[in-house]
Amino acid sequence: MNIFANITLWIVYIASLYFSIFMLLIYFDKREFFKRETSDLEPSNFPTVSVIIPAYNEEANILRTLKSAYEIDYPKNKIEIIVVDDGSKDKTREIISEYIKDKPTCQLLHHENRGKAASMNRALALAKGEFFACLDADSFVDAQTLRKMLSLYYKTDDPRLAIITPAMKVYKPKNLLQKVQWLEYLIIILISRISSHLDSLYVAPGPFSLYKTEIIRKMGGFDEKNIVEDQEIAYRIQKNHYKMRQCPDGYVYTTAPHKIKPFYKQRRRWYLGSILCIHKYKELVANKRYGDFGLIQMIKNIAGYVFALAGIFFAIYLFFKPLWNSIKSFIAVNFNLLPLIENFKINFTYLNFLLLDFRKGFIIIFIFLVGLFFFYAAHKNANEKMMKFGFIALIPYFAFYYVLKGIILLLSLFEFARTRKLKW
Amino acid sequence: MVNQEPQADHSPDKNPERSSFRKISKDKYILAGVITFLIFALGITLGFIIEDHRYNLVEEINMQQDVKYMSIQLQYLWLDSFQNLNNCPVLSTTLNEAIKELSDSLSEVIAYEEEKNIADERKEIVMRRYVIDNLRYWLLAIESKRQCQMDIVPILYFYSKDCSSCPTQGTILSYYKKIFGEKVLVFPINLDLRSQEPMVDIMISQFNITKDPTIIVDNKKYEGVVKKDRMKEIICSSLQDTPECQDENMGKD
Repeated sequence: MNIFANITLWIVYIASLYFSIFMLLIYFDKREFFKRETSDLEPSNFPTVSVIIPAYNEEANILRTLKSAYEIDYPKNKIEIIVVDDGSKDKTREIISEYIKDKPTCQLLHHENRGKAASMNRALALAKGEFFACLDADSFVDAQTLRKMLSLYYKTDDPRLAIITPAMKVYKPKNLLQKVQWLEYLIIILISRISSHLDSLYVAPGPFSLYKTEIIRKMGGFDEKNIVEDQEIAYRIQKNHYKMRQCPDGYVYTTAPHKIKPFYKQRRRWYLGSILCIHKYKELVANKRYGDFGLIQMIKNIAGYVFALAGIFFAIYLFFKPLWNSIKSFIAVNFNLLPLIENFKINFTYLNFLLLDFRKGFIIIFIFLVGLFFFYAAHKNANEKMMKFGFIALIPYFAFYYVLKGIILLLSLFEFARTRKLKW
Repeated sequence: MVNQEPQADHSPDKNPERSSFRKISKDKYILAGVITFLIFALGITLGFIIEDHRYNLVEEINMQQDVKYMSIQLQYLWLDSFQNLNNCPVLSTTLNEAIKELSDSLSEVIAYEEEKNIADERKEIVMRRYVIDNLRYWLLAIESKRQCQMDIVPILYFYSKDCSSCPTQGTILSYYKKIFGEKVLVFPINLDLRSQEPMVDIMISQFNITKDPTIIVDNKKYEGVVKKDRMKEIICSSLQDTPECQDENMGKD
């Protein structure tokens, strides 16, 4: 390996170690918060709340979403539901009309397909609530979440608090891909919780983030040109020194993609969108005026993408190159491997063991240990049993998932460079 | 109220106390840096300690090898000076044993080559030792074959680290090593060492090596990758009577 690759690898290792130790320190510093941060179910106030549900071709899920919104445990005269049909081509509109016809607190808007942000803005203009929540049509919300979020709002008692984000879980994962995402979402809940204490949240997830209507209106609503409007609004909130908080047990459930192709499409949108968001708000990077958000979070977000790309190149270099070489070698003996296998003995001597690169290995082991700890803490934090889906889902999560993410990032970038177009 | 175009910026006077809640966790930055540095330093130190330990281990292996080699050489000299050809069987057993051990222990040493660390002096010395050991045993092997008619094929195998087809040749050689066992003796010579070890240079000019991989069997030179079937022909023509050759030939026909 040449010297450049070696130095890059060292930088990646050390920076990853630094960030994970930093997060760990924050975690231990705020430990009393983390032990039992169960939210109050009785907020000191019951303000009016609008729930906005933008829907586009969601006939399969919309009913469950509508029901969960309608069954939110909240005084019926204080809550309104605005469903926006964004020019669906399937039966979404009929299903919605059928469901809301005898429910006076619900209303349906309809327009030609204009995108999610435009739907949100249209509903926002009509919303009567002091707060409004967005609820993606592929997700549904726990009945108590709104109460928990509002009691957090009144407990914080800060006029700059603009968004309360939920703790998002994957709904009943069935196949391996969904189970792996389930694990990932658990980790995200914990990381968001730590970020929340650092005032460094940078996403307001589509499923049930609660916004202060007045502030979002003052900011001009959602950016209709952006493909990740939920990240863009969060960056904008941060840029204008408003606050975001996570409600650590305000659960919402989302349906994770169960096939590679929709999974790829979803991630392509997230990754490209978030790179463009970082670019748009690049003045925040390493900006002291933004405190920990500028100095740690923004840098970490950038490093995340750089490291993912570096990681994929190293994966190719360290894994696929020897693999290719051994395939070439096997071709040379016409795949007559029997003599090689018959006489195969594992030559694991003491000296062979010592040949491992201990300097890098030591750091990798440390990063892995911190990762394991976060893994454990994330389960405890989200009130889930360890190994809920057995051991099998853990293997791809630890072994391939980050490589897969790197590959998706790389493919997305290639696609973007080629077409110069951003797709949902 | 809602604009199509979001207002990206707000003038500071709208939020007079804007950045007051922003804090910089300076102590955490520093503490994280210190801990990272400590882990890093610990890793480096551990690396050095283990590396040192590793060289000591290699040196031990080399010393054992030295004693064995001297013993064989002495046996050889002894037999040679008394011209007692009846003692060939004794020699062939010791030689076989010694070479088997050599290939076992040296396969551990050769793993250094795969290591991508920056070269240091001790590593260079270990590599030179390895080449010299291989050459000595190769000379012994061809001598024993000539004088005692031992049924072995000593193969000199020239390769280099940057040669892309060498792993293929290596696989083919180890394939036949597995099939023929102790009858096939492979002595790898790393051409990268030509600047450090004069013996490598001598061999290069002696056999007029211009390409890698190159193999030398029975004083004949084969340049480029020798394919699987051709390799078998070469090995079998050098051996006298081997069931593996006959079986495979019959199976092939």
